[in-house]
Amino acid sequence: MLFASIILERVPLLWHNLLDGLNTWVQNAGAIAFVGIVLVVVARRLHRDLNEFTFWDFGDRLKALVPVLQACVMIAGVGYTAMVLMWTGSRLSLPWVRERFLPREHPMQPPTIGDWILTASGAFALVVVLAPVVVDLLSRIAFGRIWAVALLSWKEAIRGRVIWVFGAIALVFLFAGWFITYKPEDQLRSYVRVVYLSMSLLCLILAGLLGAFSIPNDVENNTIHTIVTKPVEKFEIVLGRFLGYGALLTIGLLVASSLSLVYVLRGVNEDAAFESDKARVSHYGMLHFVGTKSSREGENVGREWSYRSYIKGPTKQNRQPVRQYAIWDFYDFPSEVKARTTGVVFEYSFDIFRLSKGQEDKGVFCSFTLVNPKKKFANMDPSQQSRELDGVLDEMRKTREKLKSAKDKLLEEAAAALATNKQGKSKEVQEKLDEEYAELEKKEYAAIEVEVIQRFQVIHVAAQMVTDFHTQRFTIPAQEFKALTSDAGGKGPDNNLIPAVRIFVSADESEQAQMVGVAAQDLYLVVSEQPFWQNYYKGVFGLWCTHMLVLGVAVACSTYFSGVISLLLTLFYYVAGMNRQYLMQIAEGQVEGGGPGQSFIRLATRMTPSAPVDGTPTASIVQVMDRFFSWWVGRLMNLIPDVNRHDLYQFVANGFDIGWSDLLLLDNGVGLIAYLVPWAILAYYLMKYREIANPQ
Amino acid sequence: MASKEPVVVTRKLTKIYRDFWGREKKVALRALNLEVYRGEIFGLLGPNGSGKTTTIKLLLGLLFPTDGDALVFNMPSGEVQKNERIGYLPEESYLYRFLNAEETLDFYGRLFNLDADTRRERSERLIETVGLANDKKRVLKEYSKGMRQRIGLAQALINDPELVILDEPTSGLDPLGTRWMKNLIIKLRDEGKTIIMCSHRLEDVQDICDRVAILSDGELRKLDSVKNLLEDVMRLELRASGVQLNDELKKDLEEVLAKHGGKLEFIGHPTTTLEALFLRIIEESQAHPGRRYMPDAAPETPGAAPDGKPAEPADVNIKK
Repeated sequence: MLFASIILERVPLLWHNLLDGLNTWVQNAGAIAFVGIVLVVVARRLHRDLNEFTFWDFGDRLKALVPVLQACVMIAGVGYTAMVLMWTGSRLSLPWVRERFLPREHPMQPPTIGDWILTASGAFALVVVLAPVVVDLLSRIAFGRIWAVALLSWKEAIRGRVIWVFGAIALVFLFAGWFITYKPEDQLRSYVRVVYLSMSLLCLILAGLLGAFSIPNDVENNTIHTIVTKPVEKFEIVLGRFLGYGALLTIGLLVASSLSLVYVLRGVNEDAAFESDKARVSHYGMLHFVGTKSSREGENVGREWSYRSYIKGPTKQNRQPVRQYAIWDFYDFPSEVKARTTGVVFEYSFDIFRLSKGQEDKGVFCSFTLVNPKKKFANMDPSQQSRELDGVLDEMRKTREKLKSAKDKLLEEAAAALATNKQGKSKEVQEKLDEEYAELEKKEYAAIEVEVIQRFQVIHVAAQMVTDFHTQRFTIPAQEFKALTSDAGGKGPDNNLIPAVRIFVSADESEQAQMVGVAAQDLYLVVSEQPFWQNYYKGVFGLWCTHMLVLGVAVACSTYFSGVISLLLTLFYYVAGMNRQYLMQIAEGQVEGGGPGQSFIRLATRMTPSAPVDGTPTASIVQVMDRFFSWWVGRLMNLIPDVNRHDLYQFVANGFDIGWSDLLLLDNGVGLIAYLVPWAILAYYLMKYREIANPQ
Repeated sequence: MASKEPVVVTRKLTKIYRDFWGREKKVALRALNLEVYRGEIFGLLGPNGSGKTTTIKLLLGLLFPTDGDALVFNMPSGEVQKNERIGYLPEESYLYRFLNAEETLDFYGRLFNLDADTRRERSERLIETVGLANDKKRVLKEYSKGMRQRIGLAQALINDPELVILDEPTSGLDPLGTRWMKNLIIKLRDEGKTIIMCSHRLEDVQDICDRVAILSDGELRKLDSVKNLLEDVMRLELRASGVQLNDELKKDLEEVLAKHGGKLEFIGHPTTTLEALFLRIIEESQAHPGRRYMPDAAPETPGAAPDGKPAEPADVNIKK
């Protein structure tokens, strides 16, 4: 189970971050818009031909808009000039400028005056570039013509036998079984991976090719001449092409995914069904540690992928003076969990790391102790609590025994009464009385546990055999969970939030040293389970978003560049989007070995990436050039799409629900629109102000 | 008949092609001033690279002018709305070859926001007009060049335009097709439409155009009605019949002309055009399918027309 890895990749956009996200979008898109405005102004100065273009051709009715837009350009210009001056000031070591006027460095920090100036300038620049688009969309663009071009694109693709690509997907399904090897529990996971990969790859190629070559082909074959000489706005051609191919891809993907769902779900074995044939709606806690060097991370076992931290279990030879715990804090629970009458399920999947050979396949016994820290511990320090834990558990055991012996006496009397009562009764009646007694016994013993929990505010789940990367679960009866959480959470005396439930996880004592690797998403509460097929289609929506993004970028590029160049540009954006994190590291100068210049020096002089470069003038110049390169990569980051946000197959493959609202609608849907809108605006201008005919 | 209401006006219309860095590559059109009036057939003539197609592309908004103005229906050529009233047939029929004739016309009809009934009615009528009723279900890639030119003309007329711009309309057409096209153009003019056409085939222009602009190296060299352009007031043409050509006649004519200060340049029998000859043969073969040309048959009487009729009277060109 590597589900945690997808959480690691990126933090999805959340509703409460929407305003912040919008603010960043306005800043980025606005800055690009302003660069565009400056380029147009400069180009008009240099090329007399461009003076013929009427950028703000609103007709007589909207003539009044022109001075407003001119004022917007001025205001945006003043704003950006002010920001350049402030940046220069900060370079001149004026600390008050840096603190108050430069934009914040991290989204978590409160916005500065510089942020507001950037946002306002960006908004004004966006108004300037958006106004003609909006006026055209409202007054000139006709859906009938867009539909005509979309229909044409559809027919072109179908009659060009593009549909065969979807046939190639069917081939993958037919023969994939020959090549896929899997462990029983990975069956569904492997199928989902293959199916998503093949659908994604083929549709991406298709989207790229269709988008990149459609308009350039029209221009090359001159077929566009017979369209633009009709009352067609050129942007209608762009929209029509995008929608036509988009519809083809959508329907193709829908059919392919429906067929592939049948392929994926045929003959799923029991282990795989438990792992993946569902969509868990999970609730996560915050992970921290005690007994390790730092509360933020556990031990490092030297694995290359350092995502998981490890806790060590005690051995008979080394009882550990301070025991190591991985602790999950759950600050709240969904209302449906609180109202539940059946058990509350927690699932986990840990990495087992052994320090001795020959024990690799065996599991490790772990204990899970759920505590209501508000009621149980006066001291909120988890480390202090962990030290008290053994004593509390010992007391609980004693109390449980005491209560049990009292109950045993009660039940003995009840058993004696039952024996008397059964005499002379028919067999059926005797059986019924036995059942009633068994029910009573169960109820009484359950009442003991509830009483113990109410008294100690602790639930102990002992000695669970944890096997390597297997999803496992423990269930807390609803009554017990209610007893634990009836008065939980809220704020402490120092106004800090108190967790509703704190789960201490530790490896039990054993003969040989063993370690358990954990990450924040490795233990979670299962709120509910949704059907697999529904989640499967949600994952397909993620794929669809990627295809639309690629199609949109390809079509936008093709409004100016040739087909081949458009395809290469789209490919560049997509690959860059896949490696966004690495690019971010380059932009922030965090790549080991430095930028391209330094790397070249290291290659030439056979230096390792970690060795510092010497202080020669050449090396210094190269470092300055690398910093310049990093700065440019940083600026380019605003243009590069975050394609990983649409990669949802891990959720499907591992059986985790893709949330409708946050993940699907906000992170994928809104994210896609936010990226495509600037490209659409760019396509509008490139297409409108390009000469369709080639010089003759 | 042509009125004096201008449909197309260009004022100092100039187009300079530049490279990426803005350096001048070629002056395709220089300060073109012309007016095209409603209801006339206007021809653009000139050798390759003279600026004919550039002019048409500038009028259609396919290219942007470097300088000057191009007004169509009093709107700038870049204005999309003007296209509502224009029909355009490009030099080669640039149509989507995966569509059939019906789909092609339906597609272009949609671009004019025509409703379904109008599209259907006009498509049927135009397909009939251009003679493709039997081939309307075939995709265009199976069409011959002439058929594509016909369907190209049909798409240019789908909006019932006021101005029809034809770039080499007879290109790729056989003589029958050429005649049909010329008749259709004249018919369109008679319906009140304005036609602008450019062609390399001078005889076509001469046959049907009311006025002609002659371009060379991107500049307007001549602009007038065909009649005015072709009429040579310094020369006389004499036609006679009922007389055979002989030395005596020639001598007499030379004497008469010399008396009036002129000089005989040529005297001989008139010839018909190859186009007229071809058309006559084809028409005859359609009227009499069985009649076949026999190479070994006796040659026809010299001076007689191929149909055996007496020869036309000899033309006499007299230069004053």
